[in-house]
Amino acid sequence: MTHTEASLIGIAVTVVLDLWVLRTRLLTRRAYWVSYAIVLFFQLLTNEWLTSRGVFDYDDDAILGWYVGHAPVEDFFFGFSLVTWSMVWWVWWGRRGVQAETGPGPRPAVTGLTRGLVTRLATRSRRRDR
Amino acid sequence: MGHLTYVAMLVFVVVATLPLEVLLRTRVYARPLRLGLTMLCAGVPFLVWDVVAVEAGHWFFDPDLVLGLDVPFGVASLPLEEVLFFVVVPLASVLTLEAVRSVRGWTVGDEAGDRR
Repeated sequence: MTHTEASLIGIAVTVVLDLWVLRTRLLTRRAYWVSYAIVLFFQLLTNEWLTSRGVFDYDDDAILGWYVGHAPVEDFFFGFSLVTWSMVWWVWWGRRGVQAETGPGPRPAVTGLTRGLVTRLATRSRRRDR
Repeated sequence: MGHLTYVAMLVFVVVATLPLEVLLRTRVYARPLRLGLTMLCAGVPFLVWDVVAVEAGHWFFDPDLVLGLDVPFGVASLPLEEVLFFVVVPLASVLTLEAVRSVRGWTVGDEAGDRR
């Protein structure tokens, strides 16, 4: 089996795990996709750091040869699966009642700061509208 | 960076995500049992995949860009950094999910009504 085949099977297994085996259904949630997009952005940076320097390299026969920067596209399939498994199991253990209490939300200082910024931006755009 | 090239990336990920726990109160480090179980369930299968893939020759590591501490897994050994990758990535993933929940208030499916 090539890495391409293995990583595509990995995606299929991940979807089945989330939707039908563990029934966490994270793939249907906005919170998941926004989180995945953030992780993907950082994967682009960190994986480029590793692959451009050659920390690891691939057997040409095991991959398609399609690259994003220096990273083979299979890296992103593998990453999708690993990241999704992590979030799915976290939610699953929470559903089982293992340390399930949710966090209290951002610190008041952070909330105040973001709210302040939003208000300021809103006021500024309103002024511009006039 | 030489031998520190790979470990530097891992340190970056841990340091860059740490403020989420403090500022957004993600309470991921504060729930070590749930975090540990998640790392086991998500990390181990991918670690096995990694060992099998290295053994099959799908990918290989540059010994000049890792610390040189090899962890043996029977059929193949992995650099220590590659093993820690399966600790650091689940950690960063969960912190990101909890950070998004903290900021947006969106549900992820483990809220009180969904528990079994």
